[in-house]
Amino acid sequence: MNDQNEADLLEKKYFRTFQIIMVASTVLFSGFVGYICFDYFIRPKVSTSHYHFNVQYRVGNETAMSEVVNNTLYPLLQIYDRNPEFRGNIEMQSLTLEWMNKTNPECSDLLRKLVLDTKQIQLVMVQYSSALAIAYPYIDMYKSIVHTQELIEDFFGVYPESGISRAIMLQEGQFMLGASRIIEDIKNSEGNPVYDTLMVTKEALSFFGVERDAPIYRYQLAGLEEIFILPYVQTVMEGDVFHSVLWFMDGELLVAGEEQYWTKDGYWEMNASFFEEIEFMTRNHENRLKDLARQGNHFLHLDEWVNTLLDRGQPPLLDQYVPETHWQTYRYRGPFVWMAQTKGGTPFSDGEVCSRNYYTHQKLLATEIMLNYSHFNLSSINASVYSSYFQRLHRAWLDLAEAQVTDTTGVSPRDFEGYFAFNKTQAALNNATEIMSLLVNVTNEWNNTVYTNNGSIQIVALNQIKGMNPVMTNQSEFINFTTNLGSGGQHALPVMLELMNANGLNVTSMILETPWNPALNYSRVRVSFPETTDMEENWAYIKFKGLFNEISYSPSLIEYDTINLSRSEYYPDTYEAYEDWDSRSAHDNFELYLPLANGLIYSTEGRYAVIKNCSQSHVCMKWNPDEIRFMQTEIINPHGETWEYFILQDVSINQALEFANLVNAFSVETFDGDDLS
Amino acid sequence: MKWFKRKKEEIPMNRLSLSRGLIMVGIMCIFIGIFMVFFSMVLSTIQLNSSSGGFARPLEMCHVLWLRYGTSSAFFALGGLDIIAGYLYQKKIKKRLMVITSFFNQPYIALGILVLSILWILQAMEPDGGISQFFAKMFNLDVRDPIDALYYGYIISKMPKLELLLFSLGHLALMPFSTRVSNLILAQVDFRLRKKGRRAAKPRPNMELRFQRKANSYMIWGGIILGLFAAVSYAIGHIMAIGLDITVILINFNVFKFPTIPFKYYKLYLSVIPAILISTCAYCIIASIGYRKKPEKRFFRVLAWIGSIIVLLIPFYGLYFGLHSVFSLWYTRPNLSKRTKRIDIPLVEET
Repeated sequence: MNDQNEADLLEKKYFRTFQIIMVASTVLFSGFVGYICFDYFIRPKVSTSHYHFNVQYRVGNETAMSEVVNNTLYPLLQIYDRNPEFRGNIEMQSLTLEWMNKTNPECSDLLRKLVLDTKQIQLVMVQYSSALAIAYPYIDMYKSIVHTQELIEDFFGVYPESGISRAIMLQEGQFMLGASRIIEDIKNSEGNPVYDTLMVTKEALSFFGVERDAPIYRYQLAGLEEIFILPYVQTVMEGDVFHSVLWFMDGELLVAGEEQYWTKDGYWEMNASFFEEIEFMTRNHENRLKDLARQGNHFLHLDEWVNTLLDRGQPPLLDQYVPETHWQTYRYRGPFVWMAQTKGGTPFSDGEVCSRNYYTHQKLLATEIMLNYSHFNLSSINASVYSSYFQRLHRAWLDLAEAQVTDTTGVSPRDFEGYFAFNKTQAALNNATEIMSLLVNVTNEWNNTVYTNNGSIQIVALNQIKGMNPVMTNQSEFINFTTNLGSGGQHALPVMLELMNANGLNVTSMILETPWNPALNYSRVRVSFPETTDMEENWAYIKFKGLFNEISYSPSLIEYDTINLSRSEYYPDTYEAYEDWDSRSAHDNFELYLPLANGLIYSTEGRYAVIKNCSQSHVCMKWNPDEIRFMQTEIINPHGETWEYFILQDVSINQALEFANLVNAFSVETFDGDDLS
Repeated sequence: MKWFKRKKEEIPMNRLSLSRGLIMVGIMCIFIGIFMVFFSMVLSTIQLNSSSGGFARPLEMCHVLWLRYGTSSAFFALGGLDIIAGYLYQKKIKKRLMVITSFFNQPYIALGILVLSILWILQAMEPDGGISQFFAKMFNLDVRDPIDALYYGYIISKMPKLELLLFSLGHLALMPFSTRVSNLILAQVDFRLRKKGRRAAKPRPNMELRFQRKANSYMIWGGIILGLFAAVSYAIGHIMAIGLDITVILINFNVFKFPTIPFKYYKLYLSVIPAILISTCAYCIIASIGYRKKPEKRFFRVLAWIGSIIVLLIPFYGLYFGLHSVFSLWYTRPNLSKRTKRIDIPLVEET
C-alpha cells in the first residue's frame, strides 16, 4: 500500500513538473518571440533610399547610356509618379542630366516634377562623371563638382536646395575622409556647405576596426571642418526607429535583369542591347513599396534622416581612421579591383589607365596655369580669347573626368571601355597641347624661348601654391631631376626589393635641385615587366621590405598634408600568396590597400619615403607592417610595362611630401618646341 | 479562466497536466504565427529585386504576402486546435480529437515539408541542375534545353518555397514541446496503429525509473544543443575571420545586441567559445551516461546535478530541458536501487 501511495505521489509529481515546465517554457519562449514582434510593431518605421544609377555603366557605348535612362531610370520615376506617398533619393552623376535632355526629354520633365513640384525625389549628385576620385588629385574632383552645380542649375532652372542632398555618395561606394575638403570649398549662395555628409557601408567601418556602433558619426581630418559619416545597411533598428533602405544597389538591376525570362504572359527575350525593363520586376518593387506604405512606413529623404539623427544630439566621433575604400570591402578589397586587378576584355591594365589619366591631369593643370598666367600676369591675351581657351580647357577637364570613370578599370571592363579612357584622354591632351601652342605663339617671352632660342618652358604647379612664378623660361631657375653618377645602387637603399615576374630592374642615384631647398639625394627605381598572360602565375609586383608599421601618407584629396597611421591598429593580413586577393576562406586576410593619390608613403620609424610615380603606373599599394606591395594581377600589354618609384632616405615628412607633389599632384612640366608640334 | 481553476481532484493530474501542456503548445504556436507576420513585414524592407545570392529571379511579393497571411494562419489554426483540444481534454477524453491533434503535433509533417521546400529551393538556385532535371520530367520538360530551363525556373519561382520552409522551421522550433505532449497524450489515450485483439492492462510505470530516464535524456539533449551552438559559434567566427562582419546583421534587433560580441573579438568565436561549449557538451553527455549506469552513486548524482544546471543556461530550450533534468533528479531518491532491465509483457490474444 505504501508503495502504491508512493507510486501515486511520484506520478502526480511527474505530471505536475511537466505542467510547470511547460508553463515556464511557454512564458520564456513566447515572451522572447513576443518581445521581438512587439518591439517591431510599436517602433516607428522609416525608410531611406539611394537608388544608384550610372549612365556610364558601359562607358563609351551611347546605346547603353540611353538604355540606362530610358529603360531603367524612367520606369523608376514613373513608379514614384504613380504613388505620391513614396519618397526617396536617387544617386547619379550629373552627366546623366545632359544625357537625359538629349535622349528623353519626357524623363527630364518627370524628374523636374518629382524634384521641384512633388518633392518626392531628392538627388544625390556630386560628380559630373563617376570618376575614381580616390586615385586622383583634388582639383579633378573640384572641377567635376563645380560643373555639377552648374548643370543642376541649368537643368532645373533654379538650384533646388532641398532637391539636392547634403550626402556624398560616389560610384562604387567610394569612401574617403579627405572629402571633408569639399565642405569648405563647395558652398551655396548663403555660404553654407552644399555637402557635409559622407556615406559608407557599415561593413566597411567594421572591416577597418571601427568599434562603436552608431547611426551617424562625425569626424575631423587635417584641420578641416567636421564631416558627418552616415553608415548604412539594409535593415536595422537605430535611432529608436526601424530603419530600412529601399534600394542601395545599382538602379539598373532594380528593373532589368537577365536577358531572357519566362513570365505569366510567356517567354520574354530582351530586345535592347544592354538594359531593358522587365515588367514584373517593376511591379514587384512597386508592390513592395506599397506594402511598406500600408504598414505605416515613413518614406524619408536622406537629409531628413540625417536631420532626425542630428536632432537627437551630437553624433559620436568616429573612433578609427578609415582609409580609402569602396563598398563590399570584403569582396573588393578597397581600391584593389580598380587599381590592380586586370580582368575583362579591356586591352589596358588598371595601372596603365590610371597612370594615363594621371598624366593627363598633370598636362591639363600645367596648361591651365599657363593660360591663367598669360592672361592675368602677362596680359598677352584679352578676356574674350581667355574665355574661349578656358572653355576648351574646361571641355578637356570634362573629358578627363569621363576617362577617370570607374568603369574603365573596375569590375571586368570591356574592350570599348578601355579604349574610351584612351580616346578621351587623347582628346584632352590634344586640346591642352593646342592651347599651349596658341599661348606660346601669342606670348612674346615664351615664343622667343621656345622658337627663337630653342629652349624650354617649365611649369611648376607647386610654385603657384608657394606664391612664386609658376611659368619659368630661365633654365637656371628650373627644377632639375638629374642623375648622380658614381654613387648609389640597390645596396644603398633603406629597403629590400622583391620582384615577381620582372625582366628588368634599374636603380639610379639622383639629385633633386630646386630654387627653394638644398639639393636632395634620392634613388630612382625602375622596374620593367613583360606580358605575363602566358605565365603560370600572372601577377607582377614589386615589394619594398622595411619598417612600415608606422607610416605617414596623404589621404586622397588632401595631397597637401599627411596623417600618421599604424598598421597594428587594423586587423591583420597574414595570408600572402598568389591570388590572395581572391581568397574568401583564409582567416586573418584583412588586406589593406591604399590608392596613394600623390604617391607618397613615408616610414616614420625609418625616416624614409617611397614615392610612386603615378603617371608611370598608378596601382594601389598593399600595406603590411614589414612591407608594401605594388601589384597588377596580370600584365597584358604585349610591350610590357615599366613602373617607377623614388626612394628618399633620411628625410623629414615635409620634404618627402614636397617631393611627392612635385612628381605627381603638382608636377613639374617641361616642354619645348617639339612637344608643341 | 474556469478551466484553469477547476479543482484538481475533479480531474486526474495526468490529464490536467497534459491538457494544460497542450494549451501551452497552442499558445506557442500562436506566437510563432505572430512571428511569421513580423518576419514577412521585415522581408518587405529587404531588396527583393536583388539578384544576388544565387537566385536569378527576385523574391516575389506574393510569397511575402502568403507568408504573412498563409503561413501565419496555419500556425494560428494549429494553435487554436491545440487550445481547443486541450480544453476539451479536461472535460472528457475525446480520443479521436486527441489523436488528430497529437498527429499534427508530431514533427514528421514538418520534416516532410522541410525536405520538400529544400528540394524546391535547390531547384530554384539551379533550374538546369541535376535535381531539376529529375523533377522537371513531371512537367514534361527537359531542362537541358535553355528555354525549358527558363520555364521550369518560372514554375519553381511560383512554388511556395519560403512559406513552407518557414512553416516547417517554425513547427520544428516547437518540436521538443509539441512532440513530448503529443507522445504523452497518445500513450494516455492508448493509441495504437494496428489493432490486434485486446491488450492486457498496462503495467504500472516505475516513476522513479521514468524520472531517471528523463534526467538522462534531457541532459544528453542539452549536451547536443551545446555542441550545435559550438558549431554555430565557429561558423560565425569563420565568417568574421574572413572579413565579413556578421554582427552587423545580428545586432539589427535590440534583443540580440547584448549577447553579441563585438567584431574585434572575432577570435573568441573561433576558439574560446567553441572550446567552452564543446567541453560542457562533453560534460553533460558523460554525466548523463555516468548517472544512467550508476544512479545510486553520489558522485554521479552530483555530476548529473551540475550538468542539469548547465543545461538550464542554454538559450531558448535550456529552461525546458534543464528544468526536466533538475526536477527529475530532485524527485529520485539518493539511495536508488540499481537499474533493472525492461521486460516485455506479451500481448494477450482475444479468445
